[in-house]
Amino acid sequence: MGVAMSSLHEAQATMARAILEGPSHVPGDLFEGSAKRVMMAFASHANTVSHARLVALEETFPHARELLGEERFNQLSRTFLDSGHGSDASLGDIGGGFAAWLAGQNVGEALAIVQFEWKWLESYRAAEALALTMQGLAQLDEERLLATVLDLHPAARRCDANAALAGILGLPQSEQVLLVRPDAEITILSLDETQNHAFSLLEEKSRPVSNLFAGLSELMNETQILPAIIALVGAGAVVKKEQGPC
Amino acid sequence: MTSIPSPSSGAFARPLPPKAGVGLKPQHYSKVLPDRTEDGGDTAESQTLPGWVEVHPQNYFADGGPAPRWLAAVAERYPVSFHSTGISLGSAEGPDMAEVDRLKRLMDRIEPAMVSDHLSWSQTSNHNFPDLLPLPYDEPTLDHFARAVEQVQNRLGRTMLVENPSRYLAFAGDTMSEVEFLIELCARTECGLLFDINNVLVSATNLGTDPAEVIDAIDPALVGEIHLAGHATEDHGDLTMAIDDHGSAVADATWALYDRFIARAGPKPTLIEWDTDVPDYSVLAGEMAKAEAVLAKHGCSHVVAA
Repeated sequence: MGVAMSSLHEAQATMARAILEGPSHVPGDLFEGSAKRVMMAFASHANTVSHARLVALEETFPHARELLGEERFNQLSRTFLDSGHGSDASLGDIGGGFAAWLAGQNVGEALAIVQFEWKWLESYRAAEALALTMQGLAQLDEERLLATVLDLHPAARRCDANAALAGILGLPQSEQVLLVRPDAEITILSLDETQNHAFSLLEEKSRPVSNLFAGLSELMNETQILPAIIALVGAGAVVKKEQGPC
Repeated sequence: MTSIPSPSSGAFARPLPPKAGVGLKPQHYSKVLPDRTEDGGDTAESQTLPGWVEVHPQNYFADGGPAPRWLAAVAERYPVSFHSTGISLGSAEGPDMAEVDRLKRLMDRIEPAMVSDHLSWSQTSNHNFPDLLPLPYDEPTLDHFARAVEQVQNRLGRTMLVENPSRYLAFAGDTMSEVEFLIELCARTECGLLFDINNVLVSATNLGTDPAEVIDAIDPALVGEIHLAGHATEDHGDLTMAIDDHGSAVADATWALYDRFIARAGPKPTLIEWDTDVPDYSVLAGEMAKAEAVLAKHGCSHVVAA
């Protein structure tokens, strides 16, 4: 079977199957050369594909790999990839479904590390935005301050934490950590309960400061509200949402 | 390490000079962006700096953050070439136009001197292979591939370079050589060639062809950029496989083919590619110096001729 008598589509489907499913699917008559040479060539392509995907997972989740150990991480990565996950993804996005898949693999504390490392990557790649600063807030009179609409910074992420993650990050243990990138560098902070509530309300939707205060007053003592908002603003987790014309 | 640069705007577009450049890796940002002296010069030895740099644009598609900032800072200092690995020009379903749109957005910001991808395919409708897979060299495939190049060039609003691949396989139904395919592709689409001389040697080793014949058959006028890289070899008893892993120094045989081409073509922008087991920058600088020596050796006569 020469390609001239076949279609490019069929040839590529055949090659894809041989790369994915192994030597028994290598088409014997599509290529020049001995069967051994054709087999070796497909082995090289299959190895390149597999190696690149495994390395991409290693590079996306270095701390999880360290916690799980190289052998266990590689075995999990192979199982994840062999079951078809990430097959249509670019290398940079191949780890996107890894945490959800690992949730059923009994990996203990490593699951939170994987979830954190994916959120870190999301924060790293997120769009630029001018984070609201305390100086910016201080310039507003009370009326304008209460009317200011707040939103989460595009790079702000929240992630469940455990002892293993706190140890890796060198932070005191908390139930959640905050990732922010108000400028170029990502910084990570522990979130306390009040800050966590404030983040949740802003994650739900952008809100005027007055509305945020009202929402938080249902969840906490009023003396806790301002420090929680100040903490998020001070961390660079919040932007001022510009209002369109009425 | 140099701190992450602040965002900047400005027109970066400069042509690639006929000098040695380097495939830029994040661990080498501070080496190619040394602190400026008070009089605006570089603190690093200028002979260790590249004449230009190449990046895989897919590594900079982020909406923001450090990677795009580094790229913008590099582009302010050097002519930049974008070497894409994600368009899959040869896919039977057609090129990945969503990827082309992402590339276009980055090109609008950075204005690279060159943009290129490969004579290969990487995608089917439900698989994205991180590899450059071979195409048959026949008329139907040439028609299909030329349409893809035209489609991409139209979307990008400029011509591109297409790189000759490293091949481990030749199709039984091939009706033309790779050189014939590439020359006809350039004629039909007005694209240029990214001539990878290591790939010529890898393909020749694997397919039993004569690399010098390929070197001599390529029209220098079509070549916008040259790639040099290292490759691995695997001994399988009665056959040897050359693997295009970009993980070692440029082989002596590749240097000889490069010298042969430059002697005929004159100086061309020449990239040192090293993508796996990336060494210290000084090793890459040494490889660039070797390329510069070849360019200088064959430079004078061509300057006079010009």
